[in-house]
Amino acid sequence: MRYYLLEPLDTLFFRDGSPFNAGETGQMEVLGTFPPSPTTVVGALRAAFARRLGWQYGDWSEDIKKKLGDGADLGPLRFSGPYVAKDGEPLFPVPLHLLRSGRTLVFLRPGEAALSTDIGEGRLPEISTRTKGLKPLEKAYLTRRGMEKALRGEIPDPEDVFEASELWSGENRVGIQRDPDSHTTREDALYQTTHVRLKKGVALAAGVEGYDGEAPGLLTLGGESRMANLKPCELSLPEAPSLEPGGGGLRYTATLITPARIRDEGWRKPGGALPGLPGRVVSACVGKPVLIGGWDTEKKKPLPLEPYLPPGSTWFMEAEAAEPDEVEEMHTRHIGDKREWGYGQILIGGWR
Amino acid sequence: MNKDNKLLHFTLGPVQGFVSQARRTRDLWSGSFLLSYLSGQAMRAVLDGGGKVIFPEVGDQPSITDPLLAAIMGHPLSGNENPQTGSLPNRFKAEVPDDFDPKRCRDAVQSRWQEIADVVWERYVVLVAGHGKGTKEIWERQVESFWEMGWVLGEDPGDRSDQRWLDLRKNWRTHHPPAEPGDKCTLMGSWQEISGYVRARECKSQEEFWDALRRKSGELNLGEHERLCAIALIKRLFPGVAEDAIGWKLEAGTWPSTPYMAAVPWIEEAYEKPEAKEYLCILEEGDRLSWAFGEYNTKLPCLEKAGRFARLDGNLFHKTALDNERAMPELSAQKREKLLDVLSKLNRAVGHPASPFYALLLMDGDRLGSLLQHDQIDPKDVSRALARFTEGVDEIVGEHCGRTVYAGGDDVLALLPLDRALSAAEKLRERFLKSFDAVLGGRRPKGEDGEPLRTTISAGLVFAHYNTTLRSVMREAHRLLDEVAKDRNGRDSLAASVLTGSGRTVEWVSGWEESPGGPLITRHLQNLASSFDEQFAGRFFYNVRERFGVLTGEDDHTLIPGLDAEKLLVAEYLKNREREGDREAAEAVIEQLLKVCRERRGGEPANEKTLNVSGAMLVRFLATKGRGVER
Repeated sequence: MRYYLLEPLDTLFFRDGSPFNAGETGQMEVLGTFPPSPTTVVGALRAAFARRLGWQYGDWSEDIKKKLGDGADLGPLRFSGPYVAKDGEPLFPVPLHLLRSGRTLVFLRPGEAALSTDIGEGRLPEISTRTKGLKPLEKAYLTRRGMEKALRGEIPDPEDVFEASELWSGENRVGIQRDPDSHTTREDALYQTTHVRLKKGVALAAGVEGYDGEAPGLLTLGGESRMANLKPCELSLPEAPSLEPGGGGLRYTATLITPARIRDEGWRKPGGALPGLPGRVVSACVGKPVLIGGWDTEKKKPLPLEPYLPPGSTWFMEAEAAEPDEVEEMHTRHIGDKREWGYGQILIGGWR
Repeated sequence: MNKDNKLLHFTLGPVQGFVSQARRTRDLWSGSFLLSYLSGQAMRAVLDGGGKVIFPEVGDQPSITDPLLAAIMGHPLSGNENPQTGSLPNRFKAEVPDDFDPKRCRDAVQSRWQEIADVVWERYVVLVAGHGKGTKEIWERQVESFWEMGWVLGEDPGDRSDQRWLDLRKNWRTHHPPAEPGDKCTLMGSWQEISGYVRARECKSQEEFWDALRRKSGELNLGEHERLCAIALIKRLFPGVAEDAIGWKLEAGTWPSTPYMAAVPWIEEAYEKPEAKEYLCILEEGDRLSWAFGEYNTKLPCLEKAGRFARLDGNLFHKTALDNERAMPELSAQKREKLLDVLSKLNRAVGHPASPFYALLLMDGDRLGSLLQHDQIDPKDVSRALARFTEGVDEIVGEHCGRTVYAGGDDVLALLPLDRALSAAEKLRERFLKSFDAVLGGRRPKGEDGEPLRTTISAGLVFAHYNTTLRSVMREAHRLLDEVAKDRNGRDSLAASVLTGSGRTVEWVSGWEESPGGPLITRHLQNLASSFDEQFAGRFFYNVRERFGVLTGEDDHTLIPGLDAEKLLVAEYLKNREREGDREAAEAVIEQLLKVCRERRGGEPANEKTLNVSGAMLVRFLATKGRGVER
């Protein structure tokens, strides 16, 4: 896989799913999201590659389709990410079983006793300490070193944790629509959007397989055609710890680093299964779903807004003692829908 | 507890996703009420199944003490037969017989919700549905899959650790809404609007559908650009069919709009002036303008004597709204001009125009979970204290001419006029402390710090321009309460901000007391606000911000060492007064001003080495009431 950095030249704007129609009061506020979904980044990269291959506007030629696919079909292309990168190094969403209060970091683990709940009888994740104010780091990132420690079941150093606010900030923009003939503002055409401004050294990164052409350099990324510079980079994902089977079998964790859509129900119940992963779900720390939609340019209608499991979600799994290779094999692989787009990438870790 | 019984912890949501996504004040109330009502259905299932609700305190069968639950059980309390405010929290703890199946709670909520949805569908939507594209399928999908319910059931562990069960359960979020295609709801942006048409291609059909539904439900129920999903439509329309849907009437028409709430202090001063009568005459002469009396009775105690003047649509009290032809298209140009002319005269007679700012107050008890887990506190005492607190909320809010949106458990949400919001917050806190004192008395165990355990409450108070979307005001209130007052300032704190159409202009936070057990900081704010006249406040505080902002560090508010802020501020004050004031009076004012400009964490004395100009900016806002000088 070849990796690229996408360095913004300006603020970026990625819309959330709320309606945004001109002339409607009460709809003037549109919130932005960050990082963008894999679909958005894949869309920007494919369009940039197509331009490099000579496309200007209209339908893609057959030659381009052979190289870059067509619409929902990615042809020979495979993507990973997007990842947030700082000074060229990738960062990863903090696994949701890691909690923090001040500088204290603590892991949640499946409780000893099984409880009877609406999702079945199971061991819910708990903490062993009475430290007050512990909260999941839902808007924070770990360095590669920090993530490797977390995967080994060791507490990362506080220095390896970056809050989203250290990486980017929101910026409100008020816009008006102008009447090109009269050069005056149009009635009811005031709107507000929230852009993101990445801090110095912060960029997005993505992996591409199946495209051997030159990097296109500049590309437009997200709403309002903001520009970013695309340049090849070296990027390594965290290494998996070696898993040791114990008395009860092989225990491991699976942590999402990009959003996932998993259609079978196994992810949401004790004793369930995750696609492609050996063993059964013992417990999990799963965040609120993220909603991902978009716009179908061909059919001129919104794509369905679908719930995805958020990055950072972690499952505690138990498998047969003889399966460590099979489990380790899944490290950095993708599970669920639209895997070739970069969705559902997981990292394997250990738990005791 | 009977040893054959089990403990059940139950939760219903989404709370913020349902309540906060509101366009009008009545949406806020209607959402809170429905959520509370449905939570009551789950409690009813427990009671009908031979169980007992332990938290919150709702009384025992047959003498239920919570007015909403009593009405749900079919035995309403005398004097409160038709409860209008949500009083039941969205999570509860119960003792249930060994064979009790918690699915009964879920089924009770779902089937009652379905019945409410059916009544709204039959009354308003069914005749229009045929003009839509798959409207019935959209409606059914959304109604069926909206609510998120979770529970944990088990034997009493005996060490209070059951209080954490729901929190543990919430580490594993399993509720996913369905995939929603098409155009989205203008109120709850992640759900499809029910016409099923896509605006980019089928704009005309979409407009026709919504015009038809608007005719059916009335313009007041469905605004010009509103295209809603089933959930938002039920929230909006159910008060009108409440008698059929839940068995008693709800007075949705009494909800003051945000421009109205902003104008309340001005209405009190204006209604007796001759110009007010002249204003009414213009509106009443000629064609009947029924919309002009849209706020037909807001039931605000301070306006009881204001008669028909107080029933005018909130927009009619504000010049900018009256000036805007789109806000009141029915008004003829001639009438508008006449009204503007008399409104100016009325403003002169009062001495100032109405402020465009109102207040939204959100309060929540601190560390309730730890309190319930404390091994030396009887959880029943906590429930009892909270019930005592809740009982008094509506009266306090009413005394301050506000409206309670929700009061249950340790939560309060209320709309208030700008000039009484701080006092209301202060009184509610006092009530909270007294409720716990009355129940716990001298039996307070020691906390982890070795001091007697404190039971405190925090508040988020937003002063919002009436044009700001309610969703952003609610989002801001939650941010102030959770992130600023609780997380950042260590709880036992009040955080306030000023929100205009272009964003937040002031953010301020402080522990409630000047120093532990000392005077309330809200008093200083109120005294200061009344000691500056509007014009002086504008000038003086700008200068303070300009000059004193630079005397502290960039990221924190630590003063440059050795700097005497008081002397400098007194000099600035006297300079602005242009020798009108005497030094002693100036020193008294500045001393008070400094108290609201020091950093002060909850329950701690102020840090004398700090100077945070945002305290001064809040005083300035309160003194000018945001009238035309807010930037």
